[in-house]
Amino acid sequence: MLALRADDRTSPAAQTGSIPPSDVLVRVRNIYKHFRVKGGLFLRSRWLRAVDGVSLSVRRGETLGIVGESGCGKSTLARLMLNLIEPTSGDIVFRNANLADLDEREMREMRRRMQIVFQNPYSSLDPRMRIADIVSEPLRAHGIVTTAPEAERTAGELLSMVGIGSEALHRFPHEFSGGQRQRIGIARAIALRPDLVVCDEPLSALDVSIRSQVINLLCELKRELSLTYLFISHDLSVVRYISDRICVMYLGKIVETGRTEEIFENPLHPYTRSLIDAAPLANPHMRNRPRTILEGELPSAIDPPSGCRFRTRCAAAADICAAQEPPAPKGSKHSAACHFSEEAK
Amino acid sequence: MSLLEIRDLMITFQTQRGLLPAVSGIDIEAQAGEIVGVVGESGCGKTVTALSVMGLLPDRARTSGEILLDGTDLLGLTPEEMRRTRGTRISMIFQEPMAALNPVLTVGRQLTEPLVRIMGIGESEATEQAVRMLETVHVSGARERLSAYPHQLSGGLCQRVMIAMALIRQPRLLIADEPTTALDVTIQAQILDLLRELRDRTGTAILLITHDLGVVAELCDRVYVMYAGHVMEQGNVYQIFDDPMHPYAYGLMRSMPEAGRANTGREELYSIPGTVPDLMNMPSGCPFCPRCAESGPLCREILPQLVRISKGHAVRCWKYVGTHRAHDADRTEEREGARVAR
Repeated sequence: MLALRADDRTSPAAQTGSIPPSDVLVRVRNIYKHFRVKGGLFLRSRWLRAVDGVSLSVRRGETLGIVGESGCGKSTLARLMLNLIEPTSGDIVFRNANLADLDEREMREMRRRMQIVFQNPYSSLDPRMRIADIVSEPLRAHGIVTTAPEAERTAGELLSMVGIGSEALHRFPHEFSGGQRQRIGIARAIALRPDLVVCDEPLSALDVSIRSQVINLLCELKRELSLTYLFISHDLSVVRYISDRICVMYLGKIVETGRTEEIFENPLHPYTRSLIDAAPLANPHMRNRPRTILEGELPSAIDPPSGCRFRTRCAAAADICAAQEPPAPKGSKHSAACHFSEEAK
Repeated sequence: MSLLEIRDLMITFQTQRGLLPAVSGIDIEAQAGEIVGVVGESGCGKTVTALSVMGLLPDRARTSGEILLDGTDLLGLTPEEMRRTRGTRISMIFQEPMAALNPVLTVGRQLTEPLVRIMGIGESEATEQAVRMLETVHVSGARERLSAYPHQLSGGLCQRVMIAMALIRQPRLLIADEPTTALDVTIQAQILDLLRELRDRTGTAILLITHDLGVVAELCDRVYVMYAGHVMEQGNVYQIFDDPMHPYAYGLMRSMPEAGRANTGREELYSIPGTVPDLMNMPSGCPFCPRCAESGPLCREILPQLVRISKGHAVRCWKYVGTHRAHDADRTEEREGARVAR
């Protein structure tokens, strides 16, 4: 079921660019994830192309932002990178090891180096576990701490790193606010001193005044622990603040990649431009700024448009856009998957 | 006279732990054709306020004060009168359009039902009105959509259908509770444009409840900033964003990573310390005091009045008491007097 016929792949294998291999922590090579969707009683089942040929690399010590709207495949991509789900095809190379080649024991060892902070701080902490147990669970699971007092002491240290006092150790998740729970989730994620932390919309469930506290905490921990972040969000202002580089996704593909300021100051892909235009600005003097509001809605990932997937909503779409898929952005240069991106430059 | 005038509204909930003060005496006004934002974080009382205007609070809520719509106190209406007011004079749209629509009825049925059942319009005329309304909210293929069920529509389309339902009987006031929070940014921009266009075209006033300062800046004419059941600051949108006076209001503004500002996480973002107070365990005095860098002894003791800064701009903070005149001083005295007389 996971095997995919070769002719289903629409894009040629994109090579990652010219970064020295030693600087790359994770390399994603032409990865696909198609989910089977059941049809009706007599209908054949179809494939939902959640991630459809993505290549990227995450450099050691950077924050790579993944932006896109719901259904663009950004969360699926994160789960693939953590090997939480198996790709339909393609490779994830983490610290020069192809995850597909690792056996169970080796993968377990590798998992210590990759952790995740989830979107919903209410459902991602077990309500029946004490905070000390939640935070020290990864350490116990990997046999790093074995005794209860040791676990408690380490949990206390981790909590103090995220700004929570040790009186929290014996309490339960429901006694904490959303922001505090997110801090606890972050403490758990850094417990094993991972290389990579995937942050999957870690701020979207938080109030505005709490959000900035957590952003600062993430930045501070990154500096102190030399972490690498994959930061997934639909909120452009947050991604702009926190990321060094950005990948913009649309319907399972990366449509633009580049350094944060390049993306914001000179967006090459029409989708990126309309995302930036659509983001509300907290400045009423800007409300009549010229901008293009995208029409229509995201097409289905089961039966995506031919050629460029964005063409059905693109004001600049021409005949070539339906006939031919634009080449994926290559390497670490600022580039976009658009037939007209050279002209936009 | 204002279209909507909320006066000294207090809402408390009976809970197992005791009385929970959700809204502690707020005054909010909206003129015809005005878009008024009520902005605040979770637990500030914004949604409860909206529900009280719609008469949709649960039975365990205790309400006092006045909610005047065109001079009629909605809190004094019988349930039957309130039922007739909803939909005809006030309507509401919700955060989760999918959850707010009835999943087992077609879009057409949900749109025409109030026209047929309450206004006694014939089926075919009601259908025509429904089609026109869907076209007004820019639903493509309006006639075909009438036979669709909500699950066949996307989130953005569902919200358009909700708006069509809310506006089909031309209410004077539309309450929009986080209408775009569940939607993607590009769809959010479409819906905000639509709300603005409908206001311009029909003159319906909109009470927009949101936590998102960006949405407020894009859409609202006037703004109320709420915190822990109180209005902390009010003014027109330029006063609030250009010159926020309350420490909470300017703390919120500064803690937003602005989409127009360059930063790569090197420089620390401003943040308000601490968390929102527990409503069951409110500090005395100003509720923001425990998180406020500028608080003094007076702040811990007594909640300040709203102080008038300039025309339409008022703030509830001791910093400005004495230097500025109490907002609505006359009316407050009048009310205090009335309370004593009672």
